[in-house]
Amino acid sequence: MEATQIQLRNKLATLLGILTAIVASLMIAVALIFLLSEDPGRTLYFYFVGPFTSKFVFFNMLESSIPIIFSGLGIAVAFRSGVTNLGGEGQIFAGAMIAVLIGTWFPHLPGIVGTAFLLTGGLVVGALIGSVSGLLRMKWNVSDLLTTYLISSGLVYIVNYLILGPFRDPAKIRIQSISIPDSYMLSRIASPSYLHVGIFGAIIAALCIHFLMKYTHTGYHLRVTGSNRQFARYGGINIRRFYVLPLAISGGLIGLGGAVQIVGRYQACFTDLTAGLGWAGIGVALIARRNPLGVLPAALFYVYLQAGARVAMMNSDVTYEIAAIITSVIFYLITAEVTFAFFRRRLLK
Amino acid sequence: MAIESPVLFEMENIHKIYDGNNVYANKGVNLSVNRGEIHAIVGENGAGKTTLMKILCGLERANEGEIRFNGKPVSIESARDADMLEIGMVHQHFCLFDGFNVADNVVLTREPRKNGLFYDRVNAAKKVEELGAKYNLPIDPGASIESLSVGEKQKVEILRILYRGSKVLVLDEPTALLTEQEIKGFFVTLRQLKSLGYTIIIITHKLDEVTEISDRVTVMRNGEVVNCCITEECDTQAIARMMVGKEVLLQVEKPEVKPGATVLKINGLSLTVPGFSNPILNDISLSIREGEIFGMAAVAGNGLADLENVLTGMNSRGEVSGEAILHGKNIANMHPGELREMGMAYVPADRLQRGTSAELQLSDNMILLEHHKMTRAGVLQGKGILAFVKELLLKYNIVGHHATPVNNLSGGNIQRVVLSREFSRDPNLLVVSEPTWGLDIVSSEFVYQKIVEMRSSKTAILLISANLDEILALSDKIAVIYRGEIVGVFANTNLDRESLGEYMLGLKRQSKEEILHGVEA
Repeated sequence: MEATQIQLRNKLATLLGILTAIVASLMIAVALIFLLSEDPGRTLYFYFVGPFTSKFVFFNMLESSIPIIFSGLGIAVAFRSGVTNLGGEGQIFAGAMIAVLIGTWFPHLPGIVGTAFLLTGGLVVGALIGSVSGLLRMKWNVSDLLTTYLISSGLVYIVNYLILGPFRDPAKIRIQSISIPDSYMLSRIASPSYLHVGIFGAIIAALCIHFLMKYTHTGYHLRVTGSNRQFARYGGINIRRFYVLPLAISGGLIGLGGAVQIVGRYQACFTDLTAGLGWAGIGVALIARRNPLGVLPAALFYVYLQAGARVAMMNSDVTYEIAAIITSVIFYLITAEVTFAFFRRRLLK
Repeated sequence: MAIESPVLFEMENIHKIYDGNNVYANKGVNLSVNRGEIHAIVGENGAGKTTLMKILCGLERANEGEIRFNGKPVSIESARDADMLEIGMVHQHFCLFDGFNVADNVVLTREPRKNGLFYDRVNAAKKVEELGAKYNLPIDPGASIESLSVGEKQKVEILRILYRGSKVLVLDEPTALLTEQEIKGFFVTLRQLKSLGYTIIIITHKLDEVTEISDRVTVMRNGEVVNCCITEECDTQAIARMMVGKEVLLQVEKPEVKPGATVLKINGLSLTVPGFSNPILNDISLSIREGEIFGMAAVAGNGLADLENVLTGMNSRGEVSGEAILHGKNIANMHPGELREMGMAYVPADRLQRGTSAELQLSDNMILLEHHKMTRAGVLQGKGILAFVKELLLKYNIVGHHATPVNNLSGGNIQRVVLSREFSRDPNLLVVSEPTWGLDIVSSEFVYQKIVEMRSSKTAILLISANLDEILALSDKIAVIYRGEIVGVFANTNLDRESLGEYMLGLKRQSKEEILHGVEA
């Protein structure tokens, strides 16, 4: 077989794999709905068409993809570089909290400078958190899978303490931190929905990471080390450096995502802010096959399912549990290697 | 009553070709094994010994041939069939489950049961203990597998096939990883099993063991049986000659090149590894000059792989002492990056794990050493890279597109990718290890031709290989390593496989003076 043809078939196999997985999982979802719902027709409609029936729902769906794009990008970079980051929750939370802190400590900067300052704060804090795991791996070979998770779990408690204790806003009925000045908030695009210009930031971030990984010297080192450390060492690359750097980039992106949540949407920090966004990033990165640009459609697909579930819950007899089962079945099938392996075998033999 | 024939089983006219390459692993092999004997099968790496035994044990299927057990034709199509015939095999790499104890591993798939349903742990331990006592293989049934030494693990493997009731024991290079002491104990066990009527087949390439333990020996070479004889009646020299053969089949055209200045000088290089009483490499000294191919030959397991790692900065086990001088600097403990900067090129034996990154595309693999030069302001120069890669693809005749992932290529093409990357830098020292394992003839010839071209351009070349034909066809000088030491150094004139083979198998060694003289010459 011609080499170019092999390559083409490889890509086709991946594409067919994804499509088959989507179709199969949607079919299972439909079957589940027929099984579990009294009025399957109505449920199906709201589940799959619901997100497109109103502008409000649709734009809110787009808004909810923003933090997931950031965390998905962070995880994709980590996976591509051969490290694991399970600390998304803590990194988002810490990034958000630091943005709140900076915002309240420096309330009188010019709007755009303040916003940039807050975002940088989230980025730096996330990167520092990631680097700690990287250093632990580099110095003492402590598993990054464990340390990212453990550090993150600890951070959640610390930030919760800050929200409930010293930085709580007593004027609010809801338990939340003090708020950042209005002048630091990103502008909304499609009022009355929550969609804000952060969506463009997320797209730009994806483009930048794609460029970094594919076209830069550093990205080359990350890819080589991530694909095969022995090969990287053999080629003279100092592989010890490549525990810290990828985890710093990964943590930085996710922390940035946390800060964006503050300046784009919430203005203040509250205890449920992360709500599994860090874990969702892992699923999204896997659907995207660790490809930074693929994170964009993968994140949209993810929030589409979520929005569908939400609309269906409001308008039919679907409970939260059923929606969660359906979402997980779809995820499970899409990330499974089986379908990809099947098409690769068929097309390349 | 008819007298029982001494023959237990025969394998006749066995042919085996593995998919993917058209090389015979077994080519019309005949083997006959007697009841209750210890039968040694010897041969070089790749002679087809293991393949033959896997066919006997139902792990591979022959393309052609017949197996007769007690004179009756049988078909062995799976491990289950072999089990029915009471044949059991201990593989070179043990197949034990960590996290389970000795008794669990021994009784696996034949567990004693309580009420026909539950695993009877107590009874299993008791049975294994009794079995160990009966065969003089004492071992604590409750010990966890990962706490055992290599010798003890082997005991577990043997107990496992004894527990299953095997009467024919096939042992694939059983002593390869054992210490001297463990080997002695192992031989005692073998003799005892033999006295109890077991039939034992032992695959090895250590000749001293053949004479010590076996009743008969079958010699294989290139997938064929060369001879089968009673061990007492043939001398080791003869067996060695049969193993390696005489004629060198490989011819490579080499132009005259006058060697220049010394490039690499190794003085007393040793490698000690914790847990091993003898050094893995012991006092290696040699020097390699410009335009010279220095061949290092040894049977696998004698330290060649470690020498490759130590010289290329990839060593990660043990302490290195002594020195290897390149351009006035000791490179013995340098990082590969420093070695690369000093002009070393290196074609590793493990081209799939070390020489390439399987999931990356061709161009990413090919620019590994040059990408620094192809970067401007931190950005890779796409056009320059494409031109560079396309030129190499053409020059090295690589069937592939610059964006094809390496794991889509054939073995021969993968090796071409490695060569193109390493050779295109005009290195002054080239380390090449096992450059043609697993390659077909066309690809091998290409590799040889390129190595010879490097020699013509005055590169100093260290060729590390267990393939004698390759060593003899390419080298200007040859050193033979046996158990981590240089046992002979020769100029490659009028050498044949036979004489080198005797050194490789430890039957002969030169005096210290001769070796020194050979190195200096």
